[in-house]
Amino acid sequence: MAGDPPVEAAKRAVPESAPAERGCAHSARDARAQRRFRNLAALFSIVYLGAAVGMRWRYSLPVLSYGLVAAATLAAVFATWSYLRFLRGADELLRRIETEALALGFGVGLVLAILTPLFEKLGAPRLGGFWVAPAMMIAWSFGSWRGSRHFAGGRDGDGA
Amino acid sequence: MKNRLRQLRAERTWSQGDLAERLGVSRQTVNAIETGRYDPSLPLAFRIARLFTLGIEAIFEPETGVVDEWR
Repeated sequence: MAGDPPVEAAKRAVPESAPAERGCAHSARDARAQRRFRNLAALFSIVYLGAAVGMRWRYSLPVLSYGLVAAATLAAVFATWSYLRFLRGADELLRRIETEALALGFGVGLVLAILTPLFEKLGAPRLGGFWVAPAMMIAWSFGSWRGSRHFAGGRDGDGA
Repeated sequence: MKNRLRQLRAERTWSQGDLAERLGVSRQTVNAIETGRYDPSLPLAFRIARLFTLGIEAIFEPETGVVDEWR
């Protein structure tokens, strides 16, 4: 079948994807949902940092501290809800990439949370629980990037 | 899983983007299926088969040995 002349001619005639299309592998809907999640995650980061700084005045201005923590919690809930919506509506390959990336992030977080205290007892520098969440996020981002690269690769990766 | 998706698409002179639009998936998904890096879900396989008016087994073929293992 591969040597069939009409098929070979048709393969040569197949239009290549437009250059702009090559860089934008996700559908417009997925890109929109992902952007919404990223915006909410960025908002959460800002509010969280604000709340962390605001803890300095937790005794002098307790109402402000409670408000900041409530705002950070609300932002986290919205970001999670937005991610769930994105994942549910995502293209099936993107969902798989994201699920594998989440598994990597979860695994790294779990390993760090469980093993860090043991390493600390062995004399390793004290990291504390604060680093678990950033490490999870970095592993999740790496998994997402790696998954996209893996599935985008191959001999026909140019969209022909 | 091997498949004839690229050949079928080529016969119709569709780009990956065209096919992706017809199937309601991303171009990345079409590319990953064509290169054999991703096996589509059953609903998507049915959509592909229906689009090309072929049976699923006429488009997708398990790698040699996979079928034999289950016999």
